[in-house]
Amino acid sequence: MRKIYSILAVSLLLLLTAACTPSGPVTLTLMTHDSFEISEETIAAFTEETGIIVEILKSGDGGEMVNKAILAKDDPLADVLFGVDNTFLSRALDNDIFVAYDSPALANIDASLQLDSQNRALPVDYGDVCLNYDKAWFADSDLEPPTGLEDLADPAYSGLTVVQNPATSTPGLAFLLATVGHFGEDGYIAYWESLVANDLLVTNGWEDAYWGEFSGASDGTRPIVVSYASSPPAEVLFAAEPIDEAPTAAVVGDGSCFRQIEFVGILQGTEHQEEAQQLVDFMLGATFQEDIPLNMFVYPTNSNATLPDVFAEHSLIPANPATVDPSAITANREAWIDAWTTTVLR
Amino acid sequence: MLKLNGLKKTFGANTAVAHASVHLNQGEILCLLGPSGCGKTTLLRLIAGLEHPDSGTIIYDDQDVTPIPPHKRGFGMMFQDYALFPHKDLFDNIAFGLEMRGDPLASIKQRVQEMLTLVELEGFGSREIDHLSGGEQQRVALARALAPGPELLLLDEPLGALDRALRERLMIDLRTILKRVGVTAVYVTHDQTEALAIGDQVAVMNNGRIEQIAPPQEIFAYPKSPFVARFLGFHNIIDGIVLDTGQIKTAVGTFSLNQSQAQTAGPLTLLIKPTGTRFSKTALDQAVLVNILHIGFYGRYFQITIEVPPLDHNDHAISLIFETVTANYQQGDQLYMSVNPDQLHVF
Amino acid sequence: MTPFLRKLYPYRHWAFLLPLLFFGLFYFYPLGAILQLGLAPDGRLQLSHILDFLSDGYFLSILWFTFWQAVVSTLLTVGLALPGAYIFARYQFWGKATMKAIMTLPFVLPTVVVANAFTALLGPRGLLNEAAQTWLGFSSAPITLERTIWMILLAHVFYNYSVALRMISGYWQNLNPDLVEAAQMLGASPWRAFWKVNWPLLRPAIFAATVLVFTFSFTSFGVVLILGGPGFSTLEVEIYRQAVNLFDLPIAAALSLLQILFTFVLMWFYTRSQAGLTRPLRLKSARATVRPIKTLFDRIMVGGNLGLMFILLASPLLALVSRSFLTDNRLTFQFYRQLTVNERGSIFFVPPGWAVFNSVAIALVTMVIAVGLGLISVYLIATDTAARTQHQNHRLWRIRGWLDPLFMLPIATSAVTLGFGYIIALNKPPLNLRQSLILVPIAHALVAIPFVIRAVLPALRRIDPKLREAATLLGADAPQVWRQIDWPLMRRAVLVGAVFAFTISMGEFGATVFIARPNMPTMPVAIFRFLGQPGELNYGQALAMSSLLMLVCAIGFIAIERFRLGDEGEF
Repeated sequence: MRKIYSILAVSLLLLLTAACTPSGPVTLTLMTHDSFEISEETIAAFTEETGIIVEILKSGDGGEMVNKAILAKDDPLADVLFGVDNTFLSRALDNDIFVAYDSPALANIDASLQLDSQNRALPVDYGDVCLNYDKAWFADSDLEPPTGLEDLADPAYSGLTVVQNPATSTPGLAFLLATVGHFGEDGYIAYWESLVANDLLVTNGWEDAYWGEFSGASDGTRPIVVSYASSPPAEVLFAAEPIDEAPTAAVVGDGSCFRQIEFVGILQGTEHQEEAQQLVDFMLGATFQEDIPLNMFVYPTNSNATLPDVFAEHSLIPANPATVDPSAITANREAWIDAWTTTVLR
Repeated sequence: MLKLNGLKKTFGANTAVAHASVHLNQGEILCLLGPSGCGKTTLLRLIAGLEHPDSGTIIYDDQDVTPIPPHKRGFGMMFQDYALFPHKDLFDNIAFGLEMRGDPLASIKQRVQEMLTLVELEGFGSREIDHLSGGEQQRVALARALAPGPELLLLDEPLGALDRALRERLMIDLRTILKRVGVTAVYVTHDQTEALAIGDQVAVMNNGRIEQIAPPQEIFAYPKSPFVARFLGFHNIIDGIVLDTGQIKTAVGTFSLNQSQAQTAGPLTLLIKPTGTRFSKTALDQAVLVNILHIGFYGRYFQITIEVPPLDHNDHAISLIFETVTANYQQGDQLYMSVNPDQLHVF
Repeated sequence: MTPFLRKLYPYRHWAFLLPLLFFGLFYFYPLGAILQLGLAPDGRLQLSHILDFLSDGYFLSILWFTFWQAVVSTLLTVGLALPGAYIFARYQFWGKATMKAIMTLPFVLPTVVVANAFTALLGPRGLLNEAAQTWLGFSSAPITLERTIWMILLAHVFYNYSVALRMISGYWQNLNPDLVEAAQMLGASPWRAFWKVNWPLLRPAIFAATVLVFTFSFTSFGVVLILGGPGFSTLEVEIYRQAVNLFDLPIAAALSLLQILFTFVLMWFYTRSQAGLTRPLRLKSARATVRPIKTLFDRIMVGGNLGLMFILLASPLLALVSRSFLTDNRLTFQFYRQLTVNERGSIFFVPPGWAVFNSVAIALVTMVIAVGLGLISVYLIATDTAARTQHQNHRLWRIRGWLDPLFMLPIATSAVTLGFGYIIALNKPPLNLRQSLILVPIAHALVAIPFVIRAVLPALRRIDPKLREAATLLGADAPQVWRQIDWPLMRRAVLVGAVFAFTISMGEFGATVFIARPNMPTMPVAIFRFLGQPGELNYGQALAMSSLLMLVCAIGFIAIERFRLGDEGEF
C-alpha cells in the first residue's frame, strides 16, 4: 500500500510543481532500460539527502533506449541516462548526447572500466557474459562441463549449446565479441563455423534461450547457454525452495567471457545540470553501488562497495575476460554481425 | 386536409415526381396507382418526409409541413415488407410509437390491447416477429402504424407480399378498419382492383406525373388517357378518324357520338368498354366480320381474342380482347361483331 | 439520452472530426515526422542507400516469406475458424460463453509465455513427445516442430483463431436459417447450400476477418522472432532490427512505409469490394436461430470443433496454468504468494492487485476511446444510404472512400517506427505527451479502433434502412432511432469490438508500442520484469502473473458480453 501512497504523493507533488514552479523541489527524470532494478530505499535515501525527486523512465532494451535518447536529443526525455553499455557506448558518444562530468567518485573506479576519456559516460556497473551450464545434466552424463570456448567445438559437445543472435540480443552480441576477442578477427569465423557444424542452436533473445532451451531452467534440451556470470547466484536467490547450491554454473576460463560495462551520463539539454551531477555522484557512491548486485545481478564499479554474501559465494568474476577495444567495436560491429549472420544463419 | 402543391423530386438526371398536386379531404383514402418506377412510392415518401422535395409544398391541416422532419409530422406509415423490428416482440413493435411519444406504460398497454383487438390478434402480444405468418405480420404492421392515432396514414403496397386470396380478403378488412378508425390515408399500389376497392380517390401516375385523379367510379367510367385506361385494366383501345361529317370512322365501324360534341377533324383514340360489343354468327346491323384468334377459359368467364381487319390496307390487323360468360365458338371461327356507340369512350 | 446530449445533437457532424483529429495527431503526424527524418533528414530524399538495400536478394527473400506465410496463416486460421463459427452461431450448448472467453485468451499472452506453453506441449521434452515415447514406443521425439515454419503457422492460428471466430459467428447468428433450408428444399446439398447461400451472405464478415488476420500475420513480430527463431524474418522483424539494433533509420523508415503502403493497397481493394457487398438483410434474433444439439451430425459438428479448440487453444493455456502451480512436479502456491512480497524492496515492485487495477483501468479507458471513436468512424465510413442523410451528399464526403483503408493502417504499422515518431513529434505543448499516462491508452486505442471498425461496419451496413424510417414515422427522433434501432442491431458487433479493444490493451506490454512508460506498471509489464531475470522463482512468478492475466481477461470478456441495455434478443 505504501507504494500507492507514494505514487499518489508523487503525482500530487508533480501537479503542485507544475502549478507553482520554480519554488518546489526539483524532479529529475532518469532514463534507463527495462532491466533496471533498484530498491525503493535507495532512491528514498537520495531524495532525503538532497531533496531531489527521481522519476524513472524505462525505455525498452539497451539499444532502444540509446536510440530514443538520440532521437530526443534536441528535446531530451530525461536528465540522466543509466545503462548504456560498452557495445552501444560509441553510438551514444558519436551522437553527442551526454555532457561531460568529472565526478569525484571516479577515483574509486578501476581505470580499466573508464572507457570514455572525456568522462561523458561514467562506468556504473559491469557484468560478464559467460557460458552457463546445467550442473545436473553434466553430473548425469560422462561428459565434463566445458571450461572454455574451445570445448564447444568438440564433437562430444555436439547439440548441447544454445546462443543468442547478436543482431537482436545484447548478451548475444557480447558473446560474439568474446569470440572476436579470444580468437581474433581472423579466427572467430572459423570458430563459429565449427560451432554450426556441431549443431549449434540460435535464438533471438536471452529469454527464449534461457527459459525455452536451456535444460537448467526449462523443459529445453540444451545444457549450455550464453548468460551471465551472475546467473548462478540469481538461481539460488530466486529458487522456488531454498537451496544451498546453484543448479547452474558459469564458465569463467580465460578469454571465455565478455565484460559488459554499463555507463551513466548526464543528457545534453538538461535544465538541472547541478542536480543531475548529484544523482550521478550518488549512483557511483556506496549506497547505490551496494544495492546494485542483488537488484540487477551485475557488479558495482566502485571498488569500495561490499558485495552481498550470495554473490561472494556463488559467483565467479572471470580474471581475464576477452577484451575488444571499444573503438574497434564501433568500427566493426555491423561487419562482424553481418559476417556472423552469413556464417551461422544462412 | 392534405394538399400537395407542385411537388417535384429528382434523383440525379431522373425525375421521380414531376409537379404533383393533390387535394385530399379528411377521412378520405387516396390510392396512388401506377406501374413500378412511376414515382408513386417517392411521392408517398415525400409526404412522409423521408424524402425532401426539390420544390413544391405539402400542406396538412392548413399548415406547411414541408420543412418538418418525419418524426414530428405525426403521420403513420405501413411499409411494403412491413419493416417490423426483428429485435422486438409483437407488443413492443406496436408500442413503439407510443413509447416515442412518452405515453405512460398503463395507457400504452391499453392502447396496444385495443390495437390487437382491432386487428384480431388478441393474446399474441409476446410473440416474436419471426414466428408470425405473412398475414399476421401485415396486421401487426397496420396496428403499429395506427397505434399512435396518426391523422394521416401512409401505406406502401401493404398487400404486395401476400397471395391473391389473402390479398382480396385483407383488402376489404383494411378498408373496413381504415374507415372505422376514420383515418385519412394515402395508399400506394400497382393493382387496379386494390385501388378501386380501397380508394375514395384514385390517382394514376405515369412517369412522375399524376395523369388523372378522381373517385373510383368516375375514373373507371371516364379514364382521361389511354395510359390510365390501360392501367385500369381496359384492353381495347383503337384509333379512329373524325370525318368532316362529325362522324368517327374506326376499324369496327363508323359512329355518331353524342358524347363528343366538339371533335375537330383528324385522328383520335377511342376505348371500347368491355360491355360494348355483341357477337353473332349471323350478320348484324353495322357489324364487322372478325376472326377468333384465341379462346381462354378463366373459370367464371372466357376471354376471346379477336382480329379485326384494318381500316386502311397499309395498317396491321387490330386484335381486341373481350370477356364472355358463354362461348360456343371455336378458334378460327368468323363472327360478326357490332359495337354499341354508347359504350365508346373518346380520349 | 440526457437533455444535455440532446442539445448537442444538432452539432453531431462535428463529431466526425474526432476520429480524424485523433488519427491525424496520434498517427499521421508522428509517423510523418519519423518517415521524414528517416527518408529525408536534410529535406532531400536520399534514396541510394535505400535502393541498394531494396534490390538486395536478402530483402526480396524477406518480402516473399512475409507474404506467403501470411497467406497460409490466414487460410489456415479462417478455414479452421469457419466451422467453429458455425457451431457458435447455430447451436446452444453448455459452457458456450466460457469457451468463447477462453478462446480469446491467447490474444493477451506475451509471445515468450506462449512460446513456453508450446514448448511444454510440443517441445522435445514436452508432453506429447514424452507420451509418444512412453506409450507409442518412439525411440526419439517424433514431433520436431521447433523453429520450423509449422510452429509459426500454428502460433498464428493460436493467436488469431478467436478473431476470425468471433467476427464470423457474431454475424452468422442473425442470418435467417430458413434461407439455407430453402436452398436445401431446392435441391442443394448442405455443402452447396453453404456455398450458394451462407457463403455470399457471410462474405462481409469472413472478408473482414480475413483482412484482419492477414494484416496481423503479415506484420507478425513476436511469433516470428521467438518461435521462428533467427532462421525466419518478416518485414516487421527486419524493421525492428534496422531501427533498434542497427539504428539505420533510412532503411527502417523505407521498410515501414513499404509495409504501410502494401496494407493500404490491400485495404483499399478490400473496402472497395465490401462497400457494395453488404446488403441490408432481414435479421433474425439469435434466440430464434440457435438450436439444441440433437442429431448425430450435430454431435459430430459440436464435438469436433470443441475438440479442435481444446487441442489448439486450451491445451497450451492449461499447460501454462498448471506449470504455475508446479515445482519439481509438486503442487505449490508459492509463485502466487510470492507475487505479493517485495523481498528486496524494489522500487519497481507492484502488488498483483495494483497491477490488475492498472491493467484493467487502462484497458477500460482504451475500450471507451476505441469504441467511441470506432463508432463515429463507422458512420463516417458507411457510404450506403443507411447512414447517410440528405445534406451529406456533398463532394467532400467522397473522401470517405479513403478513410476506411486509412483507419486500418495502425495495425500494419511497425510499433517501433511509430514509437520513435512519438519521441520526435509529441514534444511541444499542447502535444507534449511523450511521458503522459494518457498516451498509453491512446496508443492502444489506435490499434484497437480498426478492430471496432471491422466488427461494426458489416453490422451497420446490413441494417435495413426501412427500420429506421419506420421508427422515424412512429415519432422517434434521430437519437431515439439510433438508440432503438441501430444500437440494438449493432450491439453484438460493438461488443465484439469492445472485447478486442479490451484484450489488445490488456495484452500490450508497452515494449511493442515503444512509448516511454510512466510509472503505472501493468500485468504484462510485471510479467516481463520477472522474465528478465534468472531463477525459478522469477519464472514461476511470470507464469503465475500470466495465469492471473488470463483470469482477469476471462472475467472481463464475460462481463463485457453480459453487458446489456434492455432485453432485445441477441443481435
